[in-house]
Amino acid sequence: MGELLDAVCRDKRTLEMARYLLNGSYIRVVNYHVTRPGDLPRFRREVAAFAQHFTPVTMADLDRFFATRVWPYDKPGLIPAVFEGWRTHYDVYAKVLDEYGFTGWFYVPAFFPDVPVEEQIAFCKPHGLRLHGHWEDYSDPRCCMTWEELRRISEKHVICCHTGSHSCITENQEEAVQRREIVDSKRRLEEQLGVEVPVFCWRAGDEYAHSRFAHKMLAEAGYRYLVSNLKLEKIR
Amino acid sequence: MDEKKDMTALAEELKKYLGGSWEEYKEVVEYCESRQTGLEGIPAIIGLDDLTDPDRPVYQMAPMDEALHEQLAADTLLFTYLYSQREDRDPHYPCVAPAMSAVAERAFLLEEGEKVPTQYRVMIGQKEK
Amino acid sequence: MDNGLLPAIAEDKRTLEMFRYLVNGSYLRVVNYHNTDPVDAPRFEREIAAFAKYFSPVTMADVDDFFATRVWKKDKPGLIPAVFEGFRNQHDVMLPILEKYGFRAWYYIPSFFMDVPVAQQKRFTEHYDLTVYRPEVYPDGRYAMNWDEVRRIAQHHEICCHTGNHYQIHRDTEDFDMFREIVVSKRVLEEKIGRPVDVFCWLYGEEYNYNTRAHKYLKEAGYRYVVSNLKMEKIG
Repeated sequence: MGELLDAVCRDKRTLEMARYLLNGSYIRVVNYHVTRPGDLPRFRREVAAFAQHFTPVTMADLDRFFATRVWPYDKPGLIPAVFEGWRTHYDVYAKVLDEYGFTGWFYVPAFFPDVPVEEQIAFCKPHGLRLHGHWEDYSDPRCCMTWEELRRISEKHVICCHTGSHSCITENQEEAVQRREIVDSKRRLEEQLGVEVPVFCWRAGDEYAHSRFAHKMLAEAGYRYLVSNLKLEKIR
Repeated sequence: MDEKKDMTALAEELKKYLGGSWEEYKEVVEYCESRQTGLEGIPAIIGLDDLTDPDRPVYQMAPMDEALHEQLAADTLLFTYLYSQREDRDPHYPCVAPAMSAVAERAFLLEEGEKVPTQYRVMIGQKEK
Repeated sequence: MDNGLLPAIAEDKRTLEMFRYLVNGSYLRVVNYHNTDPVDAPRFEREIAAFAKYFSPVTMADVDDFFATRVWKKDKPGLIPAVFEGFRNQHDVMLPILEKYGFRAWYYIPSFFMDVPVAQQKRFTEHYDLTVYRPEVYPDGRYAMNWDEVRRIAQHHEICCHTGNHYQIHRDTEDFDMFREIVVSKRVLEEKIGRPVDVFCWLYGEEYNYNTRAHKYLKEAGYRYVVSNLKMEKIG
């Protein structure tokens, strides 16, 4: 028992996660980044399996689950979480989701679509956006979705704010930088998409209670949910 | 794997590990509830949390506690459970708070050479061993 | 009954938090006292004698060292008799017993209580939830220690701030109330005893991260530890 207990108690999140599981307060997620056309058969197999065994999760489902604490469907919920706003998400993955009628959650760095096409590849590396060679699939250098593509995706899927420039937001940054990455980013997405963006996701960030420096900006922006490594927290 | 079966098995393991009898634990809860908290010394255990350095969570204790602390940890779970079962339970008062006092009451001390911990009441001569 | 064990454990997150502290060895024993009336003196003496036999007293320096090194240096575990509310009987009855056995207590003082005129102390105790069980012990109506008594205690014991008025601070407590109960209360105590006060203790003890609005006042006051129902947290 001793060694097991020591390991279990080292990081407080181990027991936190065990508690979430015991209490039924969890949801399955499958994380995607670049979704190249060559992987299409695999994506199809995956999403087909999701659709067979799980229920897609809309924003309204999540709101209701938090409000009632009851999951109303026979099958558990599953969120395909699609990160970074890559062009391949529209061209490849969203189409697979649509084939199966499954809802995806797209985490988009809000200022990425505004980067001029010829500068997008150069924008990626300093902002921690890993291309994985997928520009080879295209004859032009655009690697981010266009606003028009994002608007079409937002009709059937959930768009979440993944900072403005895919930045790590830290305690010591100037308030203006934090506001740009947390508040202005949400405004930009909402302005372009014409829908509310209630979810913020760190690039690398801790849970709400450990991110006090950002509380003011998260409140000013009006987010209702905060996504971090292990948690989706309802913050208002 | 059957999830429900797993849970029951885990609960059984925990109970086995706890040793002692349910009756003893229940008696401790009844006694704790009968105390006059404004007038008596009320034993408790408080957790120490270094919010300035959370990545070093493990502390080296006095020898008595090296032998006792896992028992205290397991008792935390059991007393929380017993408080959750009380019909007169205040739904707004978390079970873990009275549970921690019950943990301290039941196993405040491990005397040298002893295997069974000493209750707070026994330690202060309030009750026969 | 058996099916209820795990759900009961998972209900309040602090159960598994406490479990983890105990496994990790990060805890201290505390015995909480409120009224220490003369009629109970024999019992208190039995208790303090037992503490002295089986446990080590805990100084502020011991706590600092335990946090700094993560090693408890004394042979016997530490135990803190925690004496709450600044009642006069804690000087008249408890102090001589502690002195007799050379055991150190931590006194948690609502620092405005001492300055309440004697004629108004009964009303003050009723208003601020400071229950005096046997008022007949002090027919003159002085239920609080006076400052000379607090200073005498401070010579060999720890003095901690338990707000100013024994005042419950909520998340929505007004700023000026927080300032008075967290900052001014500490200044008063320090001025009267002539040394820094490092520990703040809430009423009905919520942990540090429960009340993020209070953080700036705890910081401004310069506390190093926050004590609540179940935890002692090092904050600076």
